Amino acid sequence: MPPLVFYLDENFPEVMAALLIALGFEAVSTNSLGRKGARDHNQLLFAAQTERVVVTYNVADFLLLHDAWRDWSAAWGTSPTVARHAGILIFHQDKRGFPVATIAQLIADLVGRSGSLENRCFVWKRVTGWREV
Amino acid sequence: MSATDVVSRVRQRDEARLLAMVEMDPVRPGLERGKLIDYGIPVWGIIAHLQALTGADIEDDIDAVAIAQAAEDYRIPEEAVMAAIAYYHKHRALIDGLHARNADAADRIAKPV
Repeated sequence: MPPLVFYLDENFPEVMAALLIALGFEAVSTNSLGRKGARDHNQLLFAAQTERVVVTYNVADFLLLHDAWRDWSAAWGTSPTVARHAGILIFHQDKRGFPVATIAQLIADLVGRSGSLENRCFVWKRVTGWREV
Repeated sequence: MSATDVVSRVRQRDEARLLAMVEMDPVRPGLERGKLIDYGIPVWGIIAHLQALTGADIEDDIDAVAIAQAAEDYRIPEEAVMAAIAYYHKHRALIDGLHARNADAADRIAKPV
């Protein structure tokens, strides 16, 4: 099985790509692909078309996009094998102090526990851990 | 002119220079969506990251270690992080509001993994 490829949103620290690669994944950033400034729905579409898992701090907007993706696909009767994204991982940051390397490990732990991330959206918050939409 | 006035003028000049490094996002309306011109990174993201790093609110005298760490994490100059902080101080209520909306959205997700 090829390694998962993560796509870091423009709000996410660039260093995360190197941390994920060190854990055996592949990772690219919006900036490294020259896509900074693209709208959120375009970022998700690009990630889906290139089979990359979105990683973002943008909770509200990507929850909405995931809901829309899922609901509109179902409403239009689109095949799940066609209308799929590779996954969305959302981190909510709080004010309790958190090293960035821990985020990479949390992603690795989720991948180990959850299997395929396709068409799934997960939110991490310190007090709850990972939650699935 | 008193020494305090001089310090104040220098700070204002520095603030103006830092704020000039931030622009409105052309595709996402709202002052809370301001982003670093040269790097395309939204201020709110850097501030959320800084708050997570420091475990505190972003006050005027945020420590230099946290600024250096954020700069390293985002691969941007420390001056760019300081620009984000200056912009945050100017539009704090709006950016805090965006953070609060994200927190509320995260709280709605109940299904454990």
